[in-house]
Amino acid sequence: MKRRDFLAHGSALTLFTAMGGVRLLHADSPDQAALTSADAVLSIDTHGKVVFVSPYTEMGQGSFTAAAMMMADELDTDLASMELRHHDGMVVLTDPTFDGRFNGGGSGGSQSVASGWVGIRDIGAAARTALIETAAARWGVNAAECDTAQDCVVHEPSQRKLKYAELVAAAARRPLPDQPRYLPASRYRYIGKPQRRADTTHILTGQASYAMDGKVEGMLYASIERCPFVNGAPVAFDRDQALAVPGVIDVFRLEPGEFEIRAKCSIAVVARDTWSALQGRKALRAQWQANQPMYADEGEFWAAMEQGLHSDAVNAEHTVGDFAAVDTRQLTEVAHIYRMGYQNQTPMEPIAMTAHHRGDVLELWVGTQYPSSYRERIAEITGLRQEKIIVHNTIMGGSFGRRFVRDGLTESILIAQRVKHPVKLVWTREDDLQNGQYRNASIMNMRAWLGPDQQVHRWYQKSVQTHPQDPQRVSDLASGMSDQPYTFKAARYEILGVPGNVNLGPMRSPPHPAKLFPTVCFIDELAHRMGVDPIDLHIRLVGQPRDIPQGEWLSSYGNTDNTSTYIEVAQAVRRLSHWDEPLPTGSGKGFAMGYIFGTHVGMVVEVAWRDDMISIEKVWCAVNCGREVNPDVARQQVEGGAIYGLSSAMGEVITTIGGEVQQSNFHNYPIMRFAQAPEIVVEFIKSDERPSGLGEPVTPPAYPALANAVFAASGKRIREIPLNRHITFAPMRSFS
Amino acid sequence: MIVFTLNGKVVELDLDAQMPLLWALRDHLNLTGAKYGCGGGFCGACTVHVAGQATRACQLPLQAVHGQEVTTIEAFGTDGSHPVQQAWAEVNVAQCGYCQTGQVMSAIALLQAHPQPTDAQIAQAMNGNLCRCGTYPRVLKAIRLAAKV
Repeated sequence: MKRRDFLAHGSALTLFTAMGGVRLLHADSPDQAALTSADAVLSIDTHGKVVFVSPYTEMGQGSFTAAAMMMADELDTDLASMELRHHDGMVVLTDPTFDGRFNGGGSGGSQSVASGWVGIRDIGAAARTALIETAAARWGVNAAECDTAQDCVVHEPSQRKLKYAELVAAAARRPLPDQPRYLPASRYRYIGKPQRRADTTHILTGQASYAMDGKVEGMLYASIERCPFVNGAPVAFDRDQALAVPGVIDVFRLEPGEFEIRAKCSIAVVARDTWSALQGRKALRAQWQANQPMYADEGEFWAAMEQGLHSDAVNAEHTVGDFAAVDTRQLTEVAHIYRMGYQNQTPMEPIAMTAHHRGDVLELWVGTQYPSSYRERIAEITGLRQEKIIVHNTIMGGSFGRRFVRDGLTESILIAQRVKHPVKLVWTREDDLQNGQYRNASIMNMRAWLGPDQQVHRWYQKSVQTHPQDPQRVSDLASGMSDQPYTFKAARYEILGVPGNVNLGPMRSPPHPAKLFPTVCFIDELAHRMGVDPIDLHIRLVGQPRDIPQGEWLSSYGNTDNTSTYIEVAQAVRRLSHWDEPLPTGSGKGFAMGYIFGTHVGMVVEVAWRDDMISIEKVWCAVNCGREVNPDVARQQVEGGAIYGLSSAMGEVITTIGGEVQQSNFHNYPIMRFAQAPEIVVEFIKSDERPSGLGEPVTPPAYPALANAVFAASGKRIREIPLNRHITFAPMRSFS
Repeated sequence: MIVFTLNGKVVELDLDAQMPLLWALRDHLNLTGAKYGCGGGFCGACTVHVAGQATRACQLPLQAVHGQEVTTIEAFGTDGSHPVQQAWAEVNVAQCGYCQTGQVMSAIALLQAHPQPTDAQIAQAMNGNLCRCGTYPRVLKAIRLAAKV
């Protein structure tokens, strides 16, 4: 909703947030300069209509509904009557207790509900308190004697009552309260009680409009033929043949490299429909200049990774105790190397967006995790001021990090600058798999020195991860290396970034799989070697309960990382999964635990080993995410997060030859199918702590839990993701 | 000219006979309930019914649709009242929702053929519909629920 829409209803109580931080302002604020970059987040009009613009975008994680629940409770209004809108990058809500990484209205890092718990409730409480104070002033009573009762302010002693609708005009002329009054948790009507997702009927009837579905009057369609490798250029392409395809309207080169680091040079085909654009692409028969890839093939790539692993080179390190002084002569050293290939987010909706550049205004229809960052890129390319950029942010057909980045946006805006019609850019599945922003590849050296006393006397791990040598990013990669829960008297953690051969981007829960897979699997290996139960060994290595200081990335995700919570989720999942009961021959269980984006997860995976094939039969998860805001949607995130991680661990990998990605569609980038999906049992640890993240935390433990289960069932210890390099997964689990 | 019945009405299209039904529905007939997910028949997001059979619209050139009866999710109305949609809402299946129309179309076709399917039959019928959000366990529950009604 635009500021002018609200201003048109001048008597409404409207709260704005301004870019760059939390600013609650009235429509008639004297600070008009601040308002030019502000947008309304909440408005209550003189009919009592409440409009709430969710500061977080919806990609399947349910935060749109959770945000509305938090607002409805704190404002003390009816959830069903509230009008909900997606924000367009101008609503910028920042939780001051967060570290600011997602300042600017991004939705990522599992922080929508976690930070909205503060930010959204602040706004609701500010509005509710303003209405209470307005009513108290009108009645001439002390505001402390007043309260609210769904859309009304009440003064119990005098039995008086005023509807919000009757108060908003006066409230809009008063200063906002300094001290918002929060509703006691005991009076929540929505938080903690299952609410159906706001968009369910639209989704199930096909009315929900994703960016791929966008239709604008006079719209054309574009598809892009890209150079298969970074930094290449076309030697030749047949523009005339492409233009001769019926329906093709324009064919031209795109140079996104000016705005996008490591962008691929490309040729855009604009046509009257998607099919014609795709046919035009085929007719291009583009030839690209010879490539000099960083690595000729997978062999060269992994050799470089191993060289980094065994070299002394380090970008970040952390030492505990006197590592060098440990006398290792009486100790047994156990050492293993683990590796993980590149992976792709693969949301079901490939990238699509519609842009219309009308000279002085640019209008964009898109689903993005980061609308404000999209606005910045649009301004950078077009030179337009923010108020001349209109972003219609739609729900997303999944994202998992993919729609955080702007590669498709840059292309779309460049096309819109040339074509004076609205143009929908459609990426094919092949485009997305081959021109992705992938989860980085990594290789880890794990070493432990065991004594005759069955204790770990020294611990070492080095992780080499593909990354441009950017210190900030290396620190991101390193987070979670040194702040893990296990206590060692002497330990050394090292991390090294090496250049990769493909582009990198966020994929559900970076960088945690690269930490949990080697660490948790290695502890499992040590347990089997020592003849002790893996869960017992994890708990023993955690040691005495203590608070763990978190790295920058994790410092502000709500509940504290106290190690007793690890033990709590480990013991809960042990009980839930009947871990200690005997299993039928050929079955095996694997355990993992982790602390990701403020949430502790304990997981057990059970697999069956039949006919030389593994099937994943059942998964149990014990989760402590603080207070559950929308319990059944929270459960969905646990189920979906587990399946995403299991799928990634089983068979997902991106490989290159000559710098070109080899995978193209779901036949050679297989994601988990229905018949392979296990039954999932979820238990939340009851908590009144503020909520923490859930969109991502359950994905990383699935990697090691599955690998450990495969070992328990088959005796095969696999130290590489994807696991199907070494073992076959059955196409179907057991169904009755 | 391609002529076929779409959601009970006769449609005439003057388009490339090789164009897959999916793109004709989406770009020319304003029906976007069938989704583009892969274009290769791997994911099922584009599932429609042709003569009552669950069919991948991205794999069906218009010439093969000529004279056929095509049903899309839009045929089942906007209120979500079909028993399968009701079961889906009851079980809270959808996450991002992009694949869900295809899932629902496959489930409707399954229940027409097998009103009381076994879990194994459900797994077989739904295996062509990918869901990256991992809603499979709830799809199973929703189909079991719909089969009881």
